[in-house]
Order: sequence, then structure tokens, then C-alpha cells
Amino acid sequence: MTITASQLFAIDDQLRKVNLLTNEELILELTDHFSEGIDIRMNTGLEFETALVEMQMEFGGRQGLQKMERQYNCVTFRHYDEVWKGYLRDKLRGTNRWKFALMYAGFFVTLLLFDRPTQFTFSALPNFLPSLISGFVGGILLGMPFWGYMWRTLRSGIHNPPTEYLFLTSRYVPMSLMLLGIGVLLAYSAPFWPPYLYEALLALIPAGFVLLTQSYHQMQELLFDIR
Amino acid sequence: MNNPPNAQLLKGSLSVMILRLLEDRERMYGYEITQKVKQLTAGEMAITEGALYPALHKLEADGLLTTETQVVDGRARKYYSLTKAGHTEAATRLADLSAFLQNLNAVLNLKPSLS
Repeated sequence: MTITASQLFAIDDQLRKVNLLTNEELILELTDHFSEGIDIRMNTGLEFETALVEMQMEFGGRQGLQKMERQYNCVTFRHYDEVWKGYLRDKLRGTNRWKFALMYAGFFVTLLLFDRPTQFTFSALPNFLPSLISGFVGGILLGMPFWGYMWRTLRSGIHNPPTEYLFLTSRYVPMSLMLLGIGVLLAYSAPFWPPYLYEALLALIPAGFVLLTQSYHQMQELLFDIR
Repeated sequence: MNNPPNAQLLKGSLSVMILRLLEDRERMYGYEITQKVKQLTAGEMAITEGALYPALHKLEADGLLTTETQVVDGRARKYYSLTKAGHTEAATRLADLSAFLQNLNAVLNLKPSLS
């Protein structure tokens, strides 16, 4: 007996909608595993639905399947991390190194043009316009992964966020927050820094954001090109 | 592993078992591996399906396994086979496990009078 197309669809549905799995690679493998097991059980006289439940129980039910997906994702994410690190390293090598240096110098000079506060007062720092601009830019940068995430989630179902976006969000958001946090700390401790060192360090923050955003886009293209 | 008394004992041996099975056969897929273990041990040992796929994925990420996907009966089937590094690693891990089992056996077979 061979599994029919509608039964294959039911297995896929069971994995995605009942067990809430999202890793496409794993779902493909499990679909084959379930089909094979169900096929053998149906040959002994079991109904498709009963065989499906039995297969599900072999994996420890929904909890077992989700635990397995988390373990599977750990390996996948480690691999993605290495790829992302590779993209970041590429941005600091060869001709890209000079592009980065030029961009960094641009930020450095721009910061030098601004008068930095000489006294540590909360009212002096940061003033309204830079706050507005940095808030706007920060909001766009931090919110960027969520647009894609929200769009994909709406398409795949609210309960079923794609693994790739889970990865991108889990890496991009903490990194952005860390850069932002360092930037804020630097801004508030401005009066205590020696001349030029403050600007040199602060220029690393927007340069870091640019690197992070560029590599984020490369990762996004890679992850969604594979599919 | 499904069998509770074996569960802890087998936990660390899963990857060695996978490598050994693939050394014997050119390529295998997930379900086939679970069935082969059951068949070889006459049902005494059973690989937990939930542990198998993350283990296979890890071995693949470590460069010990390579995969090939084929369409079988209208669905995708992922076949695993050993890479060159996988063959070397399989031999090393098997030798390590054999030495460990020999030592364990020596300790377990101690006569009470000797202790």
C-alpha cells in the first residue's frame, strides 16, 4: 500500500498545524519517516488515522516533536552563526576593508563637527533633534526584522513563525540593542572621555550598525533563497 | 532510547551506532536506521526517533555525513552517507568504544574476593 497524496497532505498538516513545527528541512524528513511508518502499519490492517497517532507517539507526542525541533534548530543555528560571522569577516577584508575605513572616517568626522557636552548633565544630553533622529533611525533598524517576521507570520499562521526568522530575530535584535546600549553609555559619559577618543569610539556604533544590517540582508537572502 | 534500562547507556553511543551502520551500508535514510537497529538487536534496542534526527543533523554539520535527497513515492527522502572524514571518525570512535567496553567488562567481572 502506498501513501496517497491526500494522506501525505494530512501528515504535513499534522506536523505543521497540530505539532507546530516550522523547520522545513525537518518537516520534509519527518514526512518521509511518518509515511514509511504509517505505510507499514496500514499493511497490518490499521487505519490511517490510528497509524498517524501511533507514529506521533513514537516521537513523544507534540512535546517530543517540539523538543526535537529545538535540538535540531540548535545545530542549524550554529551553522547559520558561522555563515553570518563569515559575512562579517568578509566586510573587513580585501577592498571591503577600505570601504569600511572610509565609512568609519565619515562617521568620525561628522561626530567631530558636533560639539560634545563638557559637563555631565542630563539636560544637556542628548538634545531634542539628535534624540529625534537617533530614535527614528534606531526604530527603523530595530524594527526592520520584525516587518519581515510579521509578514511571514501572517502568511504561515500566527502560531507557526518560520525558523529562519526566529534565527534572524534572535541574532539581530540583541546585537542591535547591545550597540545601542554602548552608544547611549558613551553619549552619557562623553565629558569624561579624552579628546578624539570619544568620537573614535562613538563612530564605531553607526559603522557597526551598517555592518550588521548589511550582513543581516545577506543572511536573509541566503536563508530565503534556499527555499 | 525507548527501552528505559538501556536509555542512559545508549545515549552516548547513538552517533557511533549511526556511523557504524553507515560504514556497513553505502547510504541510509532515517526510518531505515531505526528499523535496522531494531532488527540487529531483535527489538532489544530501539533508537528514539526524537534523538535520531538531531544526531544525524549534527553529524552532517560536523562534516561526517553527506546527504542526498531523492523523490520516492511522491515525497522527498534524505539519504545519509559517510564522508571521508566520517569513515576516519567512525573507525576512531569504534576503537574508543571497544576499548571502553573491554575496560568496563574487566571491572564488572571482578571476583568479589579480589575487591
